Amino acid sequence: MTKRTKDVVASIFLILFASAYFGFSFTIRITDQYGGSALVPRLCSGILVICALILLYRAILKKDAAPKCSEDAELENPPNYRSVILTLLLIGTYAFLLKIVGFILSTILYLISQIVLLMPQKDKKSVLKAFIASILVACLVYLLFVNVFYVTLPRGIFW
Amino acid sequence: MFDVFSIGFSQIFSVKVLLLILMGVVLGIIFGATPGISTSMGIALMLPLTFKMPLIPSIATILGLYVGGTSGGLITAILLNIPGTSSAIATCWDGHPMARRGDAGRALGIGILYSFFGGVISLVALFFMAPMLAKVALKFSSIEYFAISVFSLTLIASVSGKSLPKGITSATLGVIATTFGIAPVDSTYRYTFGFHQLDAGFQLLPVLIGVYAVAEILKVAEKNTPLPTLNAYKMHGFGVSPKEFGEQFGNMWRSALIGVGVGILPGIGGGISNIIAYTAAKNQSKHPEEYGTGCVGGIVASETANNAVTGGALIPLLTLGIPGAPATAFLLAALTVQGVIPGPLLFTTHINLVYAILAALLIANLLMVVVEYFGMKGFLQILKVPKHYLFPIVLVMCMVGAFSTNNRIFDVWSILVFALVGYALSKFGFPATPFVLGFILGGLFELNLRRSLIITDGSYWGFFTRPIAAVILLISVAFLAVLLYQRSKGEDVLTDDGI
Repeated sequence: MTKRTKDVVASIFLILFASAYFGFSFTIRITDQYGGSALVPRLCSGILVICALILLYRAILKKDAAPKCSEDAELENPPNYRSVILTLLLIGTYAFLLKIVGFILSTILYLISQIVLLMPQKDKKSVLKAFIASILVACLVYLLFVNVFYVTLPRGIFW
Repeated sequence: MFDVFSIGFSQIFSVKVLLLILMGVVLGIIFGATPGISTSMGIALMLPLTFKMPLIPSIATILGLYVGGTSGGLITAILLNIPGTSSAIATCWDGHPMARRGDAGRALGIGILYSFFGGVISLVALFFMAPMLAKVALKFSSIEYFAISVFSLTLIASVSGKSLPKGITSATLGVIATTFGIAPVDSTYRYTFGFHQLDAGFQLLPVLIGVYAVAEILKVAEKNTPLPTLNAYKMHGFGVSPKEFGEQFGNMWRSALIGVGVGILPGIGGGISNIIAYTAAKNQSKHPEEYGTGCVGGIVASETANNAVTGGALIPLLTLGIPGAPATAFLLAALTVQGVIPGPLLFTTHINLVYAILAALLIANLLMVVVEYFGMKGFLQILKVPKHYLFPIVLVMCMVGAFSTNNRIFDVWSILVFALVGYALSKFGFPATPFVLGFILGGLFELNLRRSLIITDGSYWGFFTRPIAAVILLISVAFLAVLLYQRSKGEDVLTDDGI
């Protein structure tokens, strides 16, 4: 995606978001004659739309000196979006499991999955090292935070 | 002055607190030195440790992290030409060339020494300026606070990134994030859609962790590039002879004052001060052509300025409750968790805390010099930990941090939401710092706007009847006008991309 395309997409998204945000501001109960609690939401919607329109104008009508070097860099070293999406899924699953199975087990599962995902070379020895490291880190962090720093961490429904 | 420090030291001088400051400094240097983990991120990770501590040990630990983190960036800047934090960008420009010609030890020594000087000068500035500003701030009404929040938002939106509309958009989105939940003044529900977990709105710490820390992890997942190999070096003293110290004396003071000044300006910090100071030093130098080739003055300017931000940034934080630099937003979070509201009344209700902060800063700066100088080899070992181990562990610490805010999973989900926001902002070229400052200042902005409208009976012109507020608002407008003019002429305008 070029910089101009990104700006167009971002502008359209911002206009849609600002419109929805402005629309929902009419559900806010107004308690004074100065705009009440809807004043700042409406002000922010207006600012967002103005900025988005300026960005859209610049992206469509003006030829900007596109930073070619960053686009070339992206071609040479293309971003690994698969890794990003999987990371997001792993983090989401971790957050979901945290309260159900507890901190230690969910952390072990998350760490082993994430480390293996980011690992450049996935051989048996490295995966085993990652597995051991995950268990050690999860237990150490739990013991340190709960017993030394008195931070409460979820134990899970099985305890 | 002596009795102030004696009260401050009496609260800090216990083995436990000194060890906590030392731990903070060591961890701060590690985070600062590790590219990809910023000072702010490091403080975010360690913040949960401090929640159950008493007030002064908790703040002392965070100050240690802040000082260590600000200085730690020079290590990889000099040895690898990669700034560990944005505060060390200009350090690369002369630090790395000096290292390449075999003088890495000298460059490191200069960087460490002048980081110390910058930190101590800013501490003196904090001591003299903060009480004066607090006295003035006591007379502020909501109109003045509204004007300051407008100025802060305008400033940070303008200098972050190269596009003004994008900076303003980012700041506005940050303010929008504060409008979820119960509104100030009349407590009406906004944008909760019946979801009661959202009644209290989003909490500051999960937002900070999501945007600064977890978004960085997503960027690492996207591009997993390894660090280049470290060159060998040897430390030889602090790298300056008495004669060179004398030659750099003016540079040191100028850079320190730039750092303090930038620190006082709300929201901008080390990321911009090191570049301004470097540019000023080069322009004022008798031999500007030497800058960029491994010149002592370049390292002096950058490292003095970036550490001078530490004290300067505490001035608006303690006197007005507005963070002077992004990393001090975490100090604000820590103070809030401890039940302390920063502002002018802090100097009457919690004066011992102020003295303790001054003492802790001095000790943190002293420990920073000692630890960085003698512990350099140890820090470099940490850099050998592969990213695919380091960042997942960092994510786990983020989850602990978010959960321990209020012991609820909602805050953990919040960091995921704001991680997506931070990542999207980065992918589409929007700066993240205005978003975070918008979130921090949004509440102040709205509360004081609405109170001001009540005072002036709905008249916006009434805001200009208060002289201080009028001046601040006019400065904001003038600043925007000058910036727009410079950008329309295509001039290269200074920007702060840093956190």
